[in-house]
Amino acid sequence: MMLRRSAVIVAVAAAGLLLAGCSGPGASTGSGGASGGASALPANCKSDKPTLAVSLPNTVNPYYVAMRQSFIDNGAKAGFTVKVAIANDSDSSQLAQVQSFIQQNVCVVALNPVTSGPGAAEVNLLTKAHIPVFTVNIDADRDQVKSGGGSIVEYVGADQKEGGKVMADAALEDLGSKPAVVGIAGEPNETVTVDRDKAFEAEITAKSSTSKVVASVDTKVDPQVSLQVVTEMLQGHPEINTVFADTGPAAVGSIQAIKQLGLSGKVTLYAFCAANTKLDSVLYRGCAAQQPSLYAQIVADNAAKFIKGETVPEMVFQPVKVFTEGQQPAEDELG
Amino acid sequence: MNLRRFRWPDETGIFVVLLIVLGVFAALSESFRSASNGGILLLNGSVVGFLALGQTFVLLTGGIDLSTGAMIATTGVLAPIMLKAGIPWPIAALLTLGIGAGAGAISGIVVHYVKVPPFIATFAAQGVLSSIPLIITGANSVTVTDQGFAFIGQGYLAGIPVPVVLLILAAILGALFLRWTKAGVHLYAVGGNRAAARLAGVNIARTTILAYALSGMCGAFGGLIATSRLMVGFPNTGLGNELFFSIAAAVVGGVSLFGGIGSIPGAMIGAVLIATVSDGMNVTNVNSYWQPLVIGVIILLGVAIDTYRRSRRGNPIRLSRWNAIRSGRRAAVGTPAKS
Repeated sequence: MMLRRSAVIVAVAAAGLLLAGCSGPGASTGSGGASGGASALPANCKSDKPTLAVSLPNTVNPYYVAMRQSFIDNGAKAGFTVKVAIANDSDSSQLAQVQSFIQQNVCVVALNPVTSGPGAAEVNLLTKAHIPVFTVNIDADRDQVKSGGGSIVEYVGADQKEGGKVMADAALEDLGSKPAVVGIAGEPNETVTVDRDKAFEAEITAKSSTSKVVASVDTKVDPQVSLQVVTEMLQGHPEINTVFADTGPAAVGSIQAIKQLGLSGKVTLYAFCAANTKLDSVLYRGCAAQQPSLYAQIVADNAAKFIKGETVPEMVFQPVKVFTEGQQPAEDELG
Repeated sequence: MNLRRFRWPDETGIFVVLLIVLGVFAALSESFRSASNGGILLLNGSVVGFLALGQTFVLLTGGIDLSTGAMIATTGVLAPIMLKAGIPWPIAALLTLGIGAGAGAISGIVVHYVKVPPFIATFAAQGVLSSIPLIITGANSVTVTDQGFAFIGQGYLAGIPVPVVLLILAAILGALFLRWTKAGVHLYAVGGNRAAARLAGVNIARTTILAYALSGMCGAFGGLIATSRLMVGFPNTGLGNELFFSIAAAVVGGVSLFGGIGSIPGAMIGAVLIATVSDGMNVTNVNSYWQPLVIGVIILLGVAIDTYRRSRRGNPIRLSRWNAIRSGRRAAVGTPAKS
């Protein structure tokens, strides 16, 4: 009796799954295209105060704190109601938040993906819902967006590669005829930081044949971890004369690591700028800063233009700001 | 001396693993063999060492403390805020330790009186403690204004880094506390057999709260050291691998996740093992993508070898210290008490 009942339950479940499978993806497949004219935009865009929905990875990094505030301030100035969702560095949370935006039928989404790959899935979902997407800081994987039928109205962010390149140039200039022996205090799990590292290495080896990167450590964008791993890297490679830190928190840890090993004057740091830290002539000699507040402002302004039917550029690469000896980046100029 | 009757300490197995790992890295890198690297290794391992020490007290009672990493974040920010308010650094440091102990005690109270499982209670505490510094600072760093505070994380005593000295002292005091005091013995008792401990007169409430308070205080030590080394309080410091490493260090060192078994020397060997692996891989420039894998495999091998060694000896799970003590030191336990 029990067996027969189980068999019936299994059969019903299987039939249900089969039906669900038949009516699933096929029914929802639609042509993308968020870059169309005003007629293709969500109804919310025609309201007095359309909604600009913003999805950011976290608010534990001062970079995103500044970006969030700028979206709120500049979004309101541009005539939007601004909704901000924080993904706590979870791709799945961000996906759920984007799905919630679709349910709320928001006008436009500004997306700073946690990571590029899953970001493409979010872009594709929004495109299918005819909600225009702007990406900021970290771009969604363009190949996946293309293959998924999605589209991105505009990307706004720093030219990460230029940041690495200018820091490499600064290091070589300060070293003069001496070769740079480099240790990288990096974040190997993010495309933007990997781009910075690669650009730094490419520039330094292209401009000086005797210069090279001899070690790389994972700072996890945490100053305490950075302090630990950079001390260990410098222990293992006493020949290092240049450290490149690809984030602000990594720069903070690197400064302390060099100081505490008594290597000031022997090892020089070039970095993406640490918050509230002045540059000097001995240890911390150069940094490149991004301007998250500015990127958010550009997105808010261009989103307002876009829903009015104006054309906006597909890519906005803002140059990094470079700081040298004696200078200190402002509060919203961060690495 | 009758060698047949000689009983190797339980920590021998993991100590041998540590020696092997040290030997491998020393063979691979000249830099690793240097005395200065030894100092750096211990200095960098001091925060995880403190967390492992605190975790040991809690694990011995059969609990677990998932809030230790977040405790670093909270106390690491509170200390520089107190310094900014003009409080002298030694007092600020003591207040920070008190706050850590107090926050830990709250977890203990929730575990004992509200009957919330330790995993959930301390997970909730982790959420609270990781949010507090963000709320206070708005995710911005807090610069340390009193240069004297650097002594905790950057000072040296007799050529040894102060954090290492503090950890050694704390470990010795902790080991003596567990071995020679009634309250210490009660920690084993509660974790070994809670019902029997209660019947034997152990004050379960006081013992549980004490364990979590000690863990909280150890977390606060971690926060003080981290902030003092950087001279900046970061609201998200300590929220990475620190918690995992603290539990791993204690367990690798022979502390049972089920309570009643383990020792502080074992946990400290576990902490040094993890610090050694981490240091060795960075010194020898192992790709960062491989590092968690290598650490995981070494931890697994360490525990497996140790377990095998114990099972060969016919004592796979060592009878708890409580059992030994119960037979020899009944008088110290006292009369049944309310819990």
